[in-house]
Amino acid sequence: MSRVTLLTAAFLATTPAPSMAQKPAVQKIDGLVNWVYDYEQGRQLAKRTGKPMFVVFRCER
Amino acid sequence: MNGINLDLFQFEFDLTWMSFFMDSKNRVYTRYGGRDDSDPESHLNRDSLLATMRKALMLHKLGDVLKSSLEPTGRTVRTPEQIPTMRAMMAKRKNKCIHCHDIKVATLKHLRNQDKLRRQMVFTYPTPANLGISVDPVQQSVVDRVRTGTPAARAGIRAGDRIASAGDHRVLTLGDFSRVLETIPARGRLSLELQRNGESIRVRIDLPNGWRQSTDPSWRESLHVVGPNCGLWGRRLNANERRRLKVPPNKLALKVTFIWGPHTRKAGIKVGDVVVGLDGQSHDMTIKQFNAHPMLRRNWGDTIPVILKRGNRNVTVRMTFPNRPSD
Repeated sequence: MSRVTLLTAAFLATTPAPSMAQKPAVQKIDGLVNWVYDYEQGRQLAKRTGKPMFVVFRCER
Repeated sequence: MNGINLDLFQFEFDLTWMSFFMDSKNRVYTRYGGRDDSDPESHLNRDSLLATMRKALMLHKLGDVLKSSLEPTGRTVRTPEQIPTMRAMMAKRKNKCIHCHDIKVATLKHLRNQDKLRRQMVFTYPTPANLGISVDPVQQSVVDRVRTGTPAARAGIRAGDRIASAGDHRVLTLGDFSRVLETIPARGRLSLELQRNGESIRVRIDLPNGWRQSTDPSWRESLHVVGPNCGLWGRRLNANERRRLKVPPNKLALKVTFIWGPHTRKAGIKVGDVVVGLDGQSHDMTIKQFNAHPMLRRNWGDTIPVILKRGNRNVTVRMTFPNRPSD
């Protein structure tokens, strides 16, 4: 496992996703990181696991 | 950005990528992201991200979140959908996806509708480059270069200095520094704590008038809200084409490839024309810089001269911008 993967695995990687009524479909990212696409879900997971979050906003379309 | 709490996630919405290291209580350890005027990825690279991750892990172990009163809390919820102009913008969009820049565009349009818009509002999240400081792309709290004659040079900041804090807020990255600069007043002084040769020193930067404005904001998507555009798209001539038309390399030479503005057509500009002068400006520009010129310097309803090369002829036309924005 590369150093990047190791370090990334130490965080909960989250990309905030829509939580309002009109939701565009999430475009998931391929790769080694298991991203969480909902900020609130990520936050709850961080609370349970005691890990910090790496929250990313990116242009996907 | 649909549904995102803007009271928690505050950043430069003209960017296409931004990140935060946070704990489960919505508190921030550090921000990673940002750009200079010349390159969208000027400070995005694997090494700096790794270094920032390591620091964030260490801060997490210590529970050392940013504690400034300027840090957003996210206690109140404010979403992009609540910006009054957003509904009209999204009505035209099939996938209803709110981009980062849409938030800034919608906010500026709302201010424009209230007659509160000022051009300088486009210059959000200034970078240290505005003060003359260039930070290392990898070790982003280290000063790479200080431009002579700038506020940073006058304050005595030197290449190699490590910025520990700005305005008493911890700085680990360009994103952190930019956040501090966003929150300080337009006038006054900024105190920096520096590490130099193993010693801690404090300097003060005098903030001159207009320090938030950078020299080339043409990359900012939100710019089109603050002023009229030329209504055309084009490309720079290559060296051969310049030679043929006898246009020196440092001079404006944009071949018109697409026209969308009725005012542009009305002025008589055609696809295939080569623009060599705009409103008294004849220096080399990218198409984005070309369109940014009137957005930053002209008003709706103004008339400006445009000089074209059409075949072997020079043609001067006058372009009158619409009296008001189209939306």
